[in-house]
Amino acid sequence: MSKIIGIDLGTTNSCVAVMEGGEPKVIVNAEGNRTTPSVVAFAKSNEQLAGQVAKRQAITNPKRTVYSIKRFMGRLHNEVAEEEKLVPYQVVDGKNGAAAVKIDDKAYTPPEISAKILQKLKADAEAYLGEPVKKAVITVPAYFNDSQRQATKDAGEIAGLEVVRIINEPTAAALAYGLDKKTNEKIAVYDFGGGTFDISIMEIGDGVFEVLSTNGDTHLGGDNIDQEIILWLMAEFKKEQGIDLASDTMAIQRLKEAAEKAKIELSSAQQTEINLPFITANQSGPKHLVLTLTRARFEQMIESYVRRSLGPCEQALKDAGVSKAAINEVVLVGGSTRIPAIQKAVKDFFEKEPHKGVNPDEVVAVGAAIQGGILGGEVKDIVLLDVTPLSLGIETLGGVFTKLIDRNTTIPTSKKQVFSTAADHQPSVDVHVLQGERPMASDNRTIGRFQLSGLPPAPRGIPQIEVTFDIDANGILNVKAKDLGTAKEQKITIQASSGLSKDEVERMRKDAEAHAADDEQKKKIIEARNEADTLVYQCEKMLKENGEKIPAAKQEELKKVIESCKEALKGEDAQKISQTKDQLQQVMFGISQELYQQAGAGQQAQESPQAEAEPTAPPTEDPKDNVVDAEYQEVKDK
Amino acid sequence: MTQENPNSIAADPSPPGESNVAAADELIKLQAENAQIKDKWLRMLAEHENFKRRKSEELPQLLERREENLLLQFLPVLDNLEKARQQLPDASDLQAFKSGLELTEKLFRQALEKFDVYRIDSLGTAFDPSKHQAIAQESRAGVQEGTVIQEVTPGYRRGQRALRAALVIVAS
Repeated sequence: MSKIIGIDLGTTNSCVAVMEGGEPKVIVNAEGNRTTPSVVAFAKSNEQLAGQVAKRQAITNPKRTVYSIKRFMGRLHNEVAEEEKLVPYQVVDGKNGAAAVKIDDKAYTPPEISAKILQKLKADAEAYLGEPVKKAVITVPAYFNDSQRQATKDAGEIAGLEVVRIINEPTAAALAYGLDKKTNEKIAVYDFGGGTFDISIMEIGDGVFEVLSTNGDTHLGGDNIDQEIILWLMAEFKKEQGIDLASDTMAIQRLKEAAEKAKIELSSAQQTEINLPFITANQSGPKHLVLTLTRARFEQMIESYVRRSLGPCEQALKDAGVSKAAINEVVLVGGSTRIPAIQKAVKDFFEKEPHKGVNPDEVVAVGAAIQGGILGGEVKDIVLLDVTPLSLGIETLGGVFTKLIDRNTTIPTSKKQVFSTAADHQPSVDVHVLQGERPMASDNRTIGRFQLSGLPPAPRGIPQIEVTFDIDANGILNVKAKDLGTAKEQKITIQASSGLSKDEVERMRKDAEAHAADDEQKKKIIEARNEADTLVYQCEKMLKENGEKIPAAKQEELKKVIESCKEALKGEDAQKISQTKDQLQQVMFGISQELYQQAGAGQQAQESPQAEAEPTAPPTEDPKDNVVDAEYQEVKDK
Repeated sequence: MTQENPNSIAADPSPPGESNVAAADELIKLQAENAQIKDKWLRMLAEHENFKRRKSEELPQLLERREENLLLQFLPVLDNLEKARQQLPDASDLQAFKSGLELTEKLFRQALEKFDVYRIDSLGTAFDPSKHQAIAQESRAGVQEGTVIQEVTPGYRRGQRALRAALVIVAS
């Protein structure tokens, strides 16, 4: 089933998103950006360009570079006299008096132009998904009439997309915040974009959004704010250095970029320095622009624009017959709503905290993707899956807690891991099942215990005991231990969480955090001890089996180092254990090398029968390759 | 399905025929449900596979983008270093200083090259929006239309892709 993409076809910028794994994902375009400029150009070579590339050549090709085509979608030529004046490309009468764009000798309908943007977004989506995209949900402003909506749909068709739904931009924004789950609530969507400002008042009930009123300012946006900063920079520079940068195209370009950067920085910092070395030069040499813009000054600069946005808000409320107090949710859309002054103004006006977690440049596309997901049957039966609240595992050599299932793993789930024995001729393994977050088993909660016995005699580390943890959808844990050699198995069933309350779970987690440093230390000591222990065992084995091949002097040396290591293991000094272990390793390697050189063949591990009483010991980690070493590799179940 | 002998001992409380029909209905219903569940499950599995594939492909791209963003932050430093060197007058007592700036610039460029970043040569070439951004058009005697006549800010490429488009003035 092909995916339905969600497209925000904006006046200045467009964005496309799709549902993936139950979550909306904004698709990055071929240029590596999350939004695409809504610009189409007909290059001299008759090549048709769309997006950033089209924008870059706009100055060299003003009559054949079309931007803000959205202002002309579904409109008659005689309706757009004002808009026409603001664009360098030619707007003419199309079929039935509709507005059309004349490029050279050909007249293009606005849908045909928009289709080129949509085509690029479609291609970018296909590149990401790795499959053809045939359907889309496209958003339009809430105030778009039938003719404008149809034009948008037509644009989709021309681009090869079946537009399964046209939804309102404020509705999409509300969807992105999950507000469709609310009942009988009034929502205000404040959309301060790059070039336009829109306010919509909606009502949600039974999963259906109803637009009560809309208002706005078609020429109020982030661009106005950038312009204010640029003017200020030029004014200050003139004051300081007596030079007017207004006619310096090169300087203006740098000022533009610097203004945008400063605006963004002031959203998080209280002031920002605009630093432009070599901004210009005259006979007395190069000139630099260095100015500090405080947030306070910036807010003064943009105050009139912010105020301008509130007028339409008042009017929209009045038209909807809704009071400020009756508004339950406020949603912010558009990059400029990142500005703290705007957020504050909106909060103060509506007297409540606005929703702003979703990227305001992308929130409309995200909502469209969610709608696409619903229509495509993806976001359907909310099968709420549980997670295990605490990690589950068993006790291994040294009293270590070895996790098999991490906490917050979605269930049902199953994990298995192979362990081995800790002592030679171990006849059984004790499976001690625990729950918790501490590295040491004794600090965690025992939830079950059983034994798998009847293991055939074997040196330590040789038997393969596969332990499987299986949690079903109800949270019931089944732990099974199976000796892969004899196929003997034993299992136990443990009830869900065994009565741990939410508070207890939290406490255990906090405990783990608080003790993290100490626990890590303890764990390191145990690991060092285990390593040393295994090494001693291996060395003694090698001595026994290959003694004759090793020169007497070396044998003595080895025996001495083995002894010192065993001594260290009797105590608690981690450093001593490590040191002696390293020494032993060195000597061992030296001897091994010689042996290999002599023999040229690998050594065979021999089983040596020993009549001793073997206690039941917990399984140990098998250091060989065919076993995953859980202590060094966190296998996360996602 | 046949009717049982009504005189038989231990007859069913409900007429046997009905329970057979009920069982058959239930079977059909369960079969349909089963088919549905199987279908849902397979779709979920398939989506899971697709998701895994996309994620694994996405990671190298994300890392690449991360690097690009980092590199972009450093380019303005190089821009100004270049300007400083260019605008230093040719006075003899400043030659050592000029060399110092040149060498610093060279160090920077070499560091960038390790990340496959190279300066784009724009001056005198045909305007190409995939690597140039026009900020103005000017007529220039004897120069063909569409030629880059001034480089305001240099462009840089990473491999064959433009990392930052050059800001240029084009001949009209």
